[in-house]
Amino acid sequence: MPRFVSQKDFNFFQHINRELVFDVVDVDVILYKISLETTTVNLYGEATEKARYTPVELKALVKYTKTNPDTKDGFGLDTTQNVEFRFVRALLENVAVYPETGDIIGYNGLFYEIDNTTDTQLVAGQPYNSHSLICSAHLTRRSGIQIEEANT
Amino acid sequence: MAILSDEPIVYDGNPPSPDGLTAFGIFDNEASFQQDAPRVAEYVANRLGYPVLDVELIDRMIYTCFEEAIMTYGSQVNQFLARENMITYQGLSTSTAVTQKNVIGSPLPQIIKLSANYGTEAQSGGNTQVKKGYISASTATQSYDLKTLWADVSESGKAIEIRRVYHYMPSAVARYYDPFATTGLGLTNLMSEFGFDGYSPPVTFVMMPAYEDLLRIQAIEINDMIRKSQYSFEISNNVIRFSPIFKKEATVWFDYMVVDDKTGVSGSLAVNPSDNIVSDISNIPYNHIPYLSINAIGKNWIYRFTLALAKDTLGNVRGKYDNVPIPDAIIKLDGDLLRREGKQEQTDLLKELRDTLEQTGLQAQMKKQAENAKMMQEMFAKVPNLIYIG
Repeated sequence: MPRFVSQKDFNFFQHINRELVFDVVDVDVILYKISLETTTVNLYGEATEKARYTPVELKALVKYTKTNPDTKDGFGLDTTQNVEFRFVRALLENVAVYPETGDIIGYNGLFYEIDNTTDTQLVAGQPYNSHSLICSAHLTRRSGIQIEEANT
Repeated sequence: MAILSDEPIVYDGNPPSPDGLTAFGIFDNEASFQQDAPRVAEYVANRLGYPVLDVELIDRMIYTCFEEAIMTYGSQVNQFLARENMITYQGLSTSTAVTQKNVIGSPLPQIIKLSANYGTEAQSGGNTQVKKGYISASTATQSYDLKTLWADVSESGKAIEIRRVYHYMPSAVARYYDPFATTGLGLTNLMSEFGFDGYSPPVTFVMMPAYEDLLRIQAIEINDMIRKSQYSFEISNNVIRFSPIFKKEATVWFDYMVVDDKTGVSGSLAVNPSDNIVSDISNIPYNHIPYLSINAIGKNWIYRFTLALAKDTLGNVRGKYDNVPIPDAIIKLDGDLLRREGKQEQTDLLKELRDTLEQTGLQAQMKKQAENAKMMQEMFAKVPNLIYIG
């Protein structure tokens, strides 16, 4: 047990983070996780249609950057945007969810596909004090992800 | 490992009974304390932002602040009274509880004890025994070593202090009628003074004022002092030297004190032998003032002081780390601010309480009464007097 940042201290940090993301910032994102078991892949391991689990609502801090117009390839105007979703790891573990590369995050009516996840914020350098999960994602087309809102 | 702990870390809005949750448990058994403590917890939490914000204080922390506030209040009141009445309390039995008691006493017994030492020096009483000694004076020598002749023999060599030597002329009044005393009242002189010396009535009565006697006695004494050489002595370095030398052997008595008796425990440093006597502020029989018997003024102060202590405590919690990590960043909490605010409020509240106590003290109250009386007199002076027309 380290002299600094004991389990009590770490719990305190988590409570502060919980209050921050739930009560102060209070931003919801929706995570659509790929269900690997039910997704059919072809000979090359590619899947044209991906099956997903029931979406989960999560609290996150969002680094929302500007959208950029893109006209390359001569196919008309396109829009790109890179967004960073930052999750408190303990809160993810509370609901037993772990965003991974390829998962989709819904935010502000748009969908973002996760390109990379970073899990390297270790409080006081302790491996068991992993504090956050940073997901870098890009804006993706709704048509490519087979996510439809149910009219229920 | 990182899953949120179930350990309570913030105020949950359901304060339980304080019984057993305070640090010292001094007031836990009081019904009024048990009743008020959850309310105070609610008050403190609400003032710190609950329920809109999380307050990282749990019930027992607030109860400890509450208990400390009550103790501080009682301590301040008792300290003030101790300052006011210390000299009255000294010498009082420690079994006489004085907490919240109207102590009506006078410092006179203590002052009289203190003045005993002055009495010793003035030879009008005191704690030190005055002893009598003597030397046998001879016609052979003028000087006598009192240490050798008396202190070594009768006081085991202890230092003695001579307070009086019985070596002086006989009382002048004994020679009032002595015709050879120069100014003494011989019968002839007396009759002559009034011009009756040539008359011969068998009995003559002359009425004279008392100062006539005093002046005549003084005259005899002054005459002896100026014109005669007798009954003088001086003491230096333990040796008493008489002048003139004795013409016949005599015993000269003197009063003395043993120096150790004056300065030791039995003398000027009087120590009450009993263990159960108030000696200083540490054993004045003050107890914690029961919460039940504190009035609304006091309770109001206690609530505010509890809040100040809670701010201080919350500041310590939030200030343990300068920066708290959040995902991919850090934030700074308001620990320092809370601590500063809490400390300042404590200082202000203590000052307020001390000022109030000073204002209610005996000296301040008497001063106020005197001012009131003076002002009342001034007001009465402006009331028109009745003009009587007879």
